[in-house]
Amino acid sequence: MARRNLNRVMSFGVSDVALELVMAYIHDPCDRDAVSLVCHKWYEIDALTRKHITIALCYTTSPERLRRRFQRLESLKLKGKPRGAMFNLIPEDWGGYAGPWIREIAEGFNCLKFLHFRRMIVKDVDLELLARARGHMLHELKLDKCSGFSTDGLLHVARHCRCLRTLFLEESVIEDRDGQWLHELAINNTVLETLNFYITELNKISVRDLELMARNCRSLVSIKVSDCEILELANFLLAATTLEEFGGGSFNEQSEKYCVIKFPPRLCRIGLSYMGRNEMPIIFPFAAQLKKLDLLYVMLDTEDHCQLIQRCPNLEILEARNVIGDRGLEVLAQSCKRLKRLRIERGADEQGMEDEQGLVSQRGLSALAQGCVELEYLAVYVSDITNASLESMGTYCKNLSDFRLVLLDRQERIPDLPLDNGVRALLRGCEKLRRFALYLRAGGLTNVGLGYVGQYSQNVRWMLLGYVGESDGGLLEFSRGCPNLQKLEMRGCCFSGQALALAVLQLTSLRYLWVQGYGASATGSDLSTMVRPFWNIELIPPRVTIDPENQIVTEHPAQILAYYSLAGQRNDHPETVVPL
Amino acid sequence: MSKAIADLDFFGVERDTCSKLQFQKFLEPQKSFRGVQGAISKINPQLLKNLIASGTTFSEGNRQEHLLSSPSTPAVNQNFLRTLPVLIPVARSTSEIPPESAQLTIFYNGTVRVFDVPSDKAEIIMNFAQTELPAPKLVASSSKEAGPFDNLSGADLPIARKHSLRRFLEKRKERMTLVSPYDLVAACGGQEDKDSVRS
Repeated sequence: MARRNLNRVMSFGVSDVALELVMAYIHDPCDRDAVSLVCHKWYEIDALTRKHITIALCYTTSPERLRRRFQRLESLKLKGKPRGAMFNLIPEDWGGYAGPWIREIAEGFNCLKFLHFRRMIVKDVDLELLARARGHMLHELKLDKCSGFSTDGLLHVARHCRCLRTLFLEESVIEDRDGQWLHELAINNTVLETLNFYITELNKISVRDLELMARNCRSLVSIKVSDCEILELANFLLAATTLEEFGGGSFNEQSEKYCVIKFPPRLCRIGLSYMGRNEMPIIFPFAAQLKKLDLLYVMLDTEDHCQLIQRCPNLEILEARNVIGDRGLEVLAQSCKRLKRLRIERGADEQGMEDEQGLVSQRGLSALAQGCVELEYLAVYVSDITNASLESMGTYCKNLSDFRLVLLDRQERIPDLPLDNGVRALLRGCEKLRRFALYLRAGGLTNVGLGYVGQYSQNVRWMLLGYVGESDGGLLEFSRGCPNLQKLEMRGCCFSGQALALAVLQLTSLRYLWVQGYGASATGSDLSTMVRPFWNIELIPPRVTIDPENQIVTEHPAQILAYYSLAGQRNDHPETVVPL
Repeated sequence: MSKAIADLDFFGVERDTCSKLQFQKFLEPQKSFRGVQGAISKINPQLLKNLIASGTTFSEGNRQEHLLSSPSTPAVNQNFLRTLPVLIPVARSTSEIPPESAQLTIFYNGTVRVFDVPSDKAEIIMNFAQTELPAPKLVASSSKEAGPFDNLSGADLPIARKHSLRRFLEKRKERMTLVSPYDLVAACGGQEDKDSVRS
């Protein structure tokens, strides 16, 4: 009786039906979380009406728990291996198996239409089970930086998932047995909109199947392929008249031959691998309508970047290596006023492999800050940096929600270190910041600076800190702030295990910690301070790997991974992982 | 990942040494077990790495689950009182074995493993095993061969490279080599920078 009264009071007399309708408009996970805590009735209605769940680490809960609570789920995103896996820091067999989740999905989730696995291990049998059980319903399947399967698994997907709108395989490690999967996809599917096998080694496909797909799927919007020769794709590009995005390919022939290539009329997002200066002009006819440009895998120098970028006034997303240089950034700042996302990756370090001008420093950043005020995402590898350029960012880029800076180690002396004041100014100025990465070197940020980071990052949910602070005191000061920090990654810092454990206890929102490289004794006893219920701690002790191709021996220092979990300690870890 | 624990018995040949195995006396590196080594098959050096890794994690007062034991029942993992591995540098006592690669026999908690290890690596392993805790940390080395296990200072961890970028840079180098092999050498100034090392 009391419970029913409470429910009625909490619902303000609103009927269940009405509640369901209203809740259908609430999408933000934090809002949903709050709603579900009001009372049992609201919890149930949230469970029935929530459409999408992202599980940031698959070991934080179990497939059974998910099904018990959210049986009507339509969309699920699961992440497995720590981010370091993208940088070869995590053992391949670390875990993140999709199998248990797929088995549960096959049995229980009758409404599931969108499925996204990121950095997980997926097997062919898993794909077969998924395809047979859910193929008739699946709209989107994303195997994003996954591994463990082959084209045989994809064949099952292509055969049984005939209403697939999106098949996304980017950067997955897939055993390439044949191109049958693409053929099956082309003949079975008429509604495909997005196909992505960019940055995979799926090279046994036939271009004829792509052409067939272009004819059968009249809603094709985005295609990103592996290293297929562009000339062989000429017919496909002619046939895919609805295409808006194209990525991948490669240029292996003489430059003159490529002037025959005609791109689809609505193409506004493009990235052509191995494109050189002589082939670049094939983009010029539609450069003005480009919204997204991927230059990560091109063979252009700084001047080429300038030539291209100045023709793209509508650019909103740019990805490039640091060969773009300060000069390229200045051109960008002048020409691309609508820029929202900019990612500048690190190019080759060898002499002569990249343009000498191909370095980014405070000069480019300052120009960028003042020129591209709509910037929301900036990730950049710099060779030099000043406090003033960071202050500029804080002053002008008020929409910045994701900022990542890595200071490269080639230049021996960085005159303007430490960056305490610049970092403080940036954090204070960019109030919308939710993701923040700062990777410096010894002397890059003092304990005071690290304290600033804690003090002025009220909204930040994720942080990556590399080589910051001077001693444990800095970390402890930092951990008194960051009220919303949920996920923390640290590398190369000098903090002791004790300080780490204490910091974990102080960071009130922290639910995930990853650390590589820490001072004092790397033993479990140091971390015992942070032992607590529902908190899983895993060690990856120091190990050595050998790259058989290049005969390179690499030594990996110890890593700590700790996370909240409702599922208890996992039991599928390899020998290289030691649970505490 | 190899899960094999060397399950070879000690033979009656060394009966008295067998009983001593459980005790600290085997920390003395001068003991030679030449008689046993002939009967012991060689095991994947991957185990050596696991062993070294396990040696660095374990401390006197806080034993953790052994890397090589399967994570099955908790009862199995009761034997936490482990000693540091004993390294028997067979190479030292036998002069006829060439210095490039010699047998390294490791007795550890009732198991025996034999490896083919170059003498400099053997030195490293021996020094490492005899070091008192806190265990020295590995240096993420940027040279081709495994460097000594130095103490980790913050600056020694090179900036990790994204796998996708690394693949592209490797492929680009291959393409340029195919097109103009001599130009590439000149451009690089003969200096080979293995990007894949920086991880």
